[in-house]
Amino acid sequence: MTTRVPGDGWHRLHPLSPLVRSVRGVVGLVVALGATALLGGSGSTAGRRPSGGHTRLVTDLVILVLGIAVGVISWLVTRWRIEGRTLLVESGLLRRQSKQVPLERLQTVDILRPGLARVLGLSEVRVRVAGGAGSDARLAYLSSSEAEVVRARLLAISQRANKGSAPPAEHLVLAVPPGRVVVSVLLEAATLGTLAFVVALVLVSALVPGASVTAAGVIPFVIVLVIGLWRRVNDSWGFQLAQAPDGLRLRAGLVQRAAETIPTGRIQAVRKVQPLLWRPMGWCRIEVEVGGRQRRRRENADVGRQRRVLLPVGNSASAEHLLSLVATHIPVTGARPPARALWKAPLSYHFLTAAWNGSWAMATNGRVRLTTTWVPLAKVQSLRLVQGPLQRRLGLATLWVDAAGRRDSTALRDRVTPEAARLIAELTDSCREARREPNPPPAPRPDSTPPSADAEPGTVEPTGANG
Amino acid sequence: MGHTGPVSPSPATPGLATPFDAEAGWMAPSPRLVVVRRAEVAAVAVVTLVVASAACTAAFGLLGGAIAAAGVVVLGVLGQIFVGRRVRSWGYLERGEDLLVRRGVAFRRLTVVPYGRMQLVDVNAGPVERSFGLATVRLHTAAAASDARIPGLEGPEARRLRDRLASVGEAQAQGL
Repeated sequence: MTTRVPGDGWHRLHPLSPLVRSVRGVVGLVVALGATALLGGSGSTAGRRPSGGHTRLVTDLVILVLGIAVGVISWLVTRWRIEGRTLLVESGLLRRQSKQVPLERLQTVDILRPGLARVLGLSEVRVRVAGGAGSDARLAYLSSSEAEVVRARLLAISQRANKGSAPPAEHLVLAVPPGRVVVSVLLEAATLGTLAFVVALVLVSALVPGASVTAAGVIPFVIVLVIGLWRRVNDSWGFQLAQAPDGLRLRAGLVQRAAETIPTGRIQAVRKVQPLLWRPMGWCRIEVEVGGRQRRRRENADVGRQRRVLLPVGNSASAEHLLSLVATHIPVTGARPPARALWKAPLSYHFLTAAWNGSWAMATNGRVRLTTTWVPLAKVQSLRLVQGPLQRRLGLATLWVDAAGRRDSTALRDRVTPEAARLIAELTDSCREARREPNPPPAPRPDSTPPSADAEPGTVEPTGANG
Repeated sequence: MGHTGPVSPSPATPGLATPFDAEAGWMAPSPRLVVVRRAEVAAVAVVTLVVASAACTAAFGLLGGAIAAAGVVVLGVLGQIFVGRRVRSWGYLERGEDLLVRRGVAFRRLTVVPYGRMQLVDVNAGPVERSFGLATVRLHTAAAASDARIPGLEGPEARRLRDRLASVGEAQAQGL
């Protein structure tokens, strides 16, 4: 196929795009068809109802054809063009959607190549604009050579519009080696638990006379195990974290590389998780909770999930480096509760610590999954002092520091009551001071390119949630 | 009938001692909330009494029914005592930049919610509360765990509190 240089008229996407876009649906349907055909054939009712099997096959084929028809129609009505300094993308049959991307505020142009697209020689062009409002503009899919040409043209227009200065480059912070991803996923409790369960089932069926667990009984669990492993490895394969003017940029994915940006000013809580089996190697995972409704869809991830993984697995040096970028001046070591808290929390006592300073509150918890949570005082939603009957007998109280989200309160557990009482008053004042301070300046970047005028670090986007 | 104006919580249930206790302006819900809660407990106790004694008489005979009835009566009395103490422990304080709510007998709680973090203030009333002319004011922040609520406020006081919270919340509102 010769490379078409995109002129100024309207263009269509590559004809094979609907096939690639619906690949997940098609694969699922084929698997379902195959499974019903195989199982229907091997069941004892094979001789009894051939007509029923035919009806089902016809229904499935009709669904398949309908799906393909929908894909073809959506391809027919989608078109794009470059008009002056704007990229226009129109789509939709019943509701026309027209997306206009101003190229002077171009941030990045990514080329993504999911599994099937790579096989067919297609690529997706994804355009991201500074300011972050609205979703990325996607051209899915173009032939690979055309995608490169389009990307170069978009970058050239944006450079001319910005009077010759290129969009500020990203600075790669860390990358996770693939071997580590695989080992870490294997060592997670969920994996080992399911594996142990499967092994136990097999052993029971082999050793206990009379208990026969057929292969069909074990297969669902094996499938669940494999799918879970695959999903986790796929999410974190080739993980790369880069620092961009508007936040942190994450890229990961084995079959499909997905990219997303986390604005640093929106971080509501930072969490470091150290599962038991990772501790011999000193690995940990760093997650953040991001506030506000995420309007940008990450491919294949559910919209609205607020927890983002900044480092799926890393050693303590990379974790510290990452924390210094995301959260400055955090307390790292904390104070333990008094000895009498052993009566209340005998199993986790040794792992309960808490610390605070003028900008952060920190607490650790958990014996098997040691979790350290930091909440910036400027983002605290509410403070709660709670004392249960056993705590009252022991003279202890727990101070909860609530961050935005469903599960992200951090608790300074089992402090001595007068200290906790004094602390809630102190933290109330500290939070008020932290809220009043202007946004701190961004972390210094090693290259000397000044940030582009459009991307002000620390700007808070208005969300619908808080008016 | 109802109280208007600030009322300090009774010293019989001091709650958790904090530096905030010394501040002036702690208010309590209307004393008629006690009546509301007692009525609710009594209704539940009567229903449970009937059902439990009928079931136990059918299953274990008259003696079983009598024991069940006695048990429910004892629980009902304990419930009434507890309810009285619990209502008396509620208190709220409106400060310059935040709202404090304290409550609880077994689990004593003190919640501090800055006005700027309030996302939603709503006023509701259950059926029994409504028949006494009382309402509950509930605060929501972006954190699901924030649980500040004040039941048993007289109608005018509930409306005043909601309007005040909404206006200072908007004035001091901040993005996430």
